[in-house]
Amino acid sequence: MKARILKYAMCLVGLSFGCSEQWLDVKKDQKLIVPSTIEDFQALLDNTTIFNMSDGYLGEVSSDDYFCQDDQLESATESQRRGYVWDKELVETYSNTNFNDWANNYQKIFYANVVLEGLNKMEAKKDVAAWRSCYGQALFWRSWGMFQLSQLFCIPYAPSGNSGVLGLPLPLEADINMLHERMGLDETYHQIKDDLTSSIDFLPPTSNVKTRPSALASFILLSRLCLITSEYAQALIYAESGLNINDRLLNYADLSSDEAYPFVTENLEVVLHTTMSYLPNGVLAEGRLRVDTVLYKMYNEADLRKDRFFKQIDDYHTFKGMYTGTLQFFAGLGMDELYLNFFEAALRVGKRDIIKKSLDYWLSSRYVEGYDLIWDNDGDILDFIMKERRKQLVFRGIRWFDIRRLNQNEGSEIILQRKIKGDLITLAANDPRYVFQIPTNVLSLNAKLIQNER
Amino acid sequence: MKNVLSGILFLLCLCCQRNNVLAQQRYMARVVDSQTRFAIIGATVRDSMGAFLSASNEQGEFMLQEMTKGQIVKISAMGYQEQQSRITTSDTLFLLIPDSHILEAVEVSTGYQKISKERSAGSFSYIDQSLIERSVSADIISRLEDVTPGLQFDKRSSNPSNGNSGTSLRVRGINTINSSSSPLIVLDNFPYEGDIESINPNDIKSVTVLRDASAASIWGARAANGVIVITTKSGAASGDMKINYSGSTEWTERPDQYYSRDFISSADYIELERWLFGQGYFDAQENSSAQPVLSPAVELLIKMRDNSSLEQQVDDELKRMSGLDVRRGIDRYLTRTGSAQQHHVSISGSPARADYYVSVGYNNDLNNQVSQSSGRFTLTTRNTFHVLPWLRLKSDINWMRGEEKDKGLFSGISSYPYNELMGQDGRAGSIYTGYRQNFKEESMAQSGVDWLYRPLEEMDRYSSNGVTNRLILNSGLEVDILDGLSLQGMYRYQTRRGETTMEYFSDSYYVRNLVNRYMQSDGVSKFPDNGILRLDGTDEKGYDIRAQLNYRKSVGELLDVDALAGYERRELIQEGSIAQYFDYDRNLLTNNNQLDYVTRFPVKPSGTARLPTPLASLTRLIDRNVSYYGNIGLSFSSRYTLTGSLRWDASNLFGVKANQKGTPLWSVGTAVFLSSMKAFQRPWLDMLKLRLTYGYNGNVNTGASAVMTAYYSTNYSTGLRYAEIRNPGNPQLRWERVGVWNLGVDFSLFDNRLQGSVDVYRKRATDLLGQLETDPTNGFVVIDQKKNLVNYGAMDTRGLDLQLSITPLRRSFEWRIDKIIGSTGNKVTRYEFDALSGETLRTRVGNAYSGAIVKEGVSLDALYTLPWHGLDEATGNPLVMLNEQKSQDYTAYIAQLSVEQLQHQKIQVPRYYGSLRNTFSWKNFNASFNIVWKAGYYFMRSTVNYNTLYSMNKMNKDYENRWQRPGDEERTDVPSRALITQTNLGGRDFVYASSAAVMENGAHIRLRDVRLAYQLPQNHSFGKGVRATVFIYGNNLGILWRANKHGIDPDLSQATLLPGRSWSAGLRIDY
Repeated sequence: MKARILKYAMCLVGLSFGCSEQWLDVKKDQKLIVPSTIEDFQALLDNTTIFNMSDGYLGEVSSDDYFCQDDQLESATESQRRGYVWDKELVETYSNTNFNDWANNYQKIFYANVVLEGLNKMEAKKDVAAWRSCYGQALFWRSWGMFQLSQLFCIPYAPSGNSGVLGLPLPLEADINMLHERMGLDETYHQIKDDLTSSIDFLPPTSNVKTRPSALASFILLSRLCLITSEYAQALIYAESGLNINDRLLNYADLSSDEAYPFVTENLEVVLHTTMSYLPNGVLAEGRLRVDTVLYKMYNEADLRKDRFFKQIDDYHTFKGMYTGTLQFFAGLGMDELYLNFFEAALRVGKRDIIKKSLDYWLSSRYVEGYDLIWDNDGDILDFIMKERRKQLVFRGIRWFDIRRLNQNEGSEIILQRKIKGDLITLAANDPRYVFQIPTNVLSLNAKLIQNER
Repeated sequence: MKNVLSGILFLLCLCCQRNNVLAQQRYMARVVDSQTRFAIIGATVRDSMGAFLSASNEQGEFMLQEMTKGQIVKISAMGYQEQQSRITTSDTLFLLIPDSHILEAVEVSTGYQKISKERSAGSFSYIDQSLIERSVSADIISRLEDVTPGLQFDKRSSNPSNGNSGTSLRVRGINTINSSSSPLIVLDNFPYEGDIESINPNDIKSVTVLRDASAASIWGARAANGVIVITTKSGAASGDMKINYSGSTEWTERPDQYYSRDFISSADYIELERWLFGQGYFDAQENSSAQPVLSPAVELLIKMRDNSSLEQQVDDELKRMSGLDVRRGIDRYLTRTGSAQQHHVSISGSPARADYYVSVGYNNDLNNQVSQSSGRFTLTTRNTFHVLPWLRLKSDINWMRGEEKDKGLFSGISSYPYNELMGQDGRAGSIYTGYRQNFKEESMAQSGVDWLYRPLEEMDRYSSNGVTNRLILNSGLEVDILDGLSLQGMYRYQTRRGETTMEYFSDSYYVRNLVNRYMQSDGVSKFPDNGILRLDGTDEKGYDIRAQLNYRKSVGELLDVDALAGYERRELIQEGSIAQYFDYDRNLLTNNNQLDYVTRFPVKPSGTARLPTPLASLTRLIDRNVSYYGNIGLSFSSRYTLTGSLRWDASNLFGVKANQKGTPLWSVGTAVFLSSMKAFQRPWLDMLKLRLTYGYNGNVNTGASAVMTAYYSTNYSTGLRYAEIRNPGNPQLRWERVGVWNLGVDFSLFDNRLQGSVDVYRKRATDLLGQLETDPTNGFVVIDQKKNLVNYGAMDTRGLDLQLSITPLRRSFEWRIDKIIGSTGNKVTRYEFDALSGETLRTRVGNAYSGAIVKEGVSLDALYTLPWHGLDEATGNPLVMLNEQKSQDYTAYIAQLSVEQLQHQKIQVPRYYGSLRNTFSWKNFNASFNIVWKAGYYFMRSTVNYNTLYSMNKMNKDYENRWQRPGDEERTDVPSRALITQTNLGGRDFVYASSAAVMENGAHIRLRDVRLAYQLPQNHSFGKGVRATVFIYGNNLGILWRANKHGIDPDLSQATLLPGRSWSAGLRIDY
């Protein structure tokens, strides 16, 4: 009897020996995964906190879409104040210092690389539609992140040549332990463009989910990029390709000007929905922002945007025309930009005839009925288009790189001025302060990076 | 003659008859002390097999039934040498020899075996039943505080008024940087991860803390932080049925509201608000379309500014408000004297062939906060059946049911010091919160739904009811196979279900706020005007299986072998769910979650928003472990002991390669009884023992992973699932290991009048996991749940534990002193990566938790502070040293800040600690009190931060001591109030609040508790055989001396309010 019990016990022990391997393979937290399926990668790309809610604030703070009154300025946070006065030493003091434009955009690049690497391991599936769409989205986001960074942390691109000019570190692998150096500016722009053109092959023309990129989004970004690099013929081609996919605009006359926010989020002009980081104590916050008076004067009585973008407050105006439908600023891609890119590119290569029909459509959507434009010489039309651009693309983070490229490429001499306590301060065209400094904590962790001059 | 003869014959026959009867029936015997001849009460009598036969009564007598003449019995009693004799005649007198040379024959339990403390080489702290019964708290862990050598209670993050108990335990300091430092808790034989509060302390017989490698290695990869083994009462060796009742009531004083440092007097606060108002600080808020709330004082100032004729009225009102103090209201309406009751009844016994223990316990607690109460009910049975001489079966059932109730939601009550909980009109006062009061009043005039927050009316408009049911079933069998060899099998099943129901009634502020926010212009709100119900559920199920071989044998005269080897595996599944129901009608039990969550509705005061989606979440965690272990102890001629243990553990840590899931851990130890050697024999030396052990323990961190992992959630606005990368993956992942040396001396002198032990230890931890910050250019930022853990660290921990028991007087009046002293310190010895700098560093300096900043050569518990250079004599601004000059450029200072510039000589966890307990007994009275002390540590005093003071009304007492005019810098370190331009320099507050200026010495001496007990005389009216004791116990009696001059309790340095003193009265009856 005793021997038998002993035998059974031993068997039990032996059995347990046998099945321990698989038994220990179960996941501890059922919600944790090792990203390995297409669904996993799509889920990574759908992380809106990473991709859609953290686009640049810095450039907008330093632009001339707005101004801030002295007493309001006093109560804004330190970093915001310094950004407003174009201080040489910009302090990144977001609530967690790691979350700044540098880190935010490199996070997008990291996620994109994780997806690209993961998808490349699944070569077998590369004909599956979902695989292709994911791949394209990842390429787009990597390019988007690099683009944002290039406009903030690199000097403006010179069409004549950029040898010896520093660009960005370009991580093309998802390895967090590497220490990257800064590549050249040409290489940087090259990488951005490459990723975008490749993405077009993989992306669907449009996306129902507006937080995800589409081929249309790539075309808009490409047209924008080519305007920056002065490749106007290319810009035209991309803009036309985009318009072939979709060419609808909102009719502003249909929107009420009484609403707190006349535009609805993800409205039909929105192609890619992203927003700027939200900073309640910033200079762009509701209570402080006042629309630049010179800008405001540009909207005439027939311009439907006057009442739909702006709201009177005291003696000035504040902005309410966000394409997000809330107090967050829209920083994504829209049909309005596509149209304006198209117009500008066509005019700069001397093809004004092709834009007539579209321009009429544009005017009918932004002005009261019956508003007419006198067509004279190219120069006047270009002027008009650039003014339209100025009036339409406000508070979107676009003005910043427009100023940079126009000063650099077209010799526009746009000078920014601000009045602080009676003193006038100026940001000259091509001032080194058009480039921001890499955050100090990044430099302390990577000695290979070279800081920008400011 | 014939008559006499027959008479004698008759008598003889009777005698013979009597003898025969005795031979088959029973024997009477007595047990006495061989020296004093006093009766020994409660001596146990067993047969040659060890089965229980009888126990002696108060006269030392016992009776044996159905014995055969000449049968061998073993008689033993605590403090005496065991005797083996044959029963030959009745009325035998057994003399037991007292053995004062043996340490109280303490049997410690390691969870795998019971070993006598004297025979082991390991380092144990043993808390016996009388020490557990000395205090009255409802949970066992609190009862261990200040009476256990080597055990420290770290309450730095504890804030009882937030309901945050935040206490962490440390056994012999800390030896990990990022993994858990909590000791493993073992209940009887198996690890217990459940809530400790569910075990009734009245069911606990003893607690053993396993402190060194030899003691703890048997637990392997979980033992690096020490092990606390809780042994529950059973029927073993208790003889006849014993019935016990214990009950007590405890009253806890209301917490002292005026202790809180988060206060500024109403008069000063209003003056501050006037000053800020004058500078236009509130202008942006006033003009904001979001209508953020402004305080009552500011609203009055606005009225005054807009209409100068109201000036006198406003001034008068502000003057009245200056005299208010919300703490009076809190004390009066929201707190009460707490009262807690305990009742416990147990029946135990060990008749032949079985031991049993059954108990029932009930606790009821009415908290200091008037809305909170809780209760607990426990039922325990423990049985062992000696089915056959070689087969024992064990079966335990342990059931607990607990309930926690809360009836009101109170928040933001102290937002302004002049808040009135009870208005002058006799109606509950309304507190400004959320949005501007007049905006709310206008809105509610239109909506018809009250939007004001009146805390006193919120009572009974919220109900939270948490019910927990826990069941533990334990069964085992033990089979004696061969001579000394036995096989043990054990199985434990536990299940726990917790359900918390939180209901927000439709008239609660929480609901009314939502209804008003979503109110549309047609007078109907998009948010249903009904209750909200939330159900949180947790479900735990687990089992443990163990198969173990034990071998206990005496080989020859000199060698005793005690060995075991076994296999065990465990599984624990924890599931959680949260569900929320809107539009909940409590009478009809209906709800409606079919609302439009997609459309963005206009909301008040401005903008649009979607309806909040009802919470719904599910979680599931599975823990699985497999282990193989073995232990051997050899004892030579009762003088030398050698022990060794080996264990291999594996667990289902996610993503870790299979061959790294397990790791072997071992220990060796030796002990020598110096007192048994001729060289050490002295008349006054009862016992002297030397112990030395060394071994490896391990530590587990479930946040680490060798491969990249991501976490799924659902994005409620897009409806899509999304994933977040939590861990970038680290293929070089290894286990944390700690090598422990322990040298100990146990001694007993002067006939046990001086007893104690001293242990010196050193722990070397290697392969410690640490968060590694990587270049953000690579895109992975370590924050929140994201971890990048790499094995790069090492640290050294050293210390000393001393335990002394002195009995200066031992006659009819006995005085006994128990002293504990501990000293512990650690140092990080390897930390590979560059220290933090600038802005990142700023978020970590002055933090009240260990490990925010890690630096080689410095203790993990170091308090990092900025050096303090005083205040500027003209402005009262804090001064910093920049480029060797005094400066006020805080931004530049922070930008160049590095760890080398910080001061770190002080540490945050007491380096020295101890307690002194005096016990006096005289006749039937017993009195004791415990004084505890801590020294060698510092804490950061909470102080004023002007930025949060202005923007979030976060008040602090230090404000009233601020610099106000030149010359003040001689008497105070608190900077002058910040100008509005300065508040956004977060730097100005930081260079003061994280500096040495607010560092305080934590040394203190505290009177922990006092106990008076009286044992009622035995032939009291209760009856014979009944022993009754009444006692009074006072706990948390106050600090006798403290080093800091601000009256802060250094133990709870971050707590807003302190728990009050408590007094209990209780009764114990044993029958």
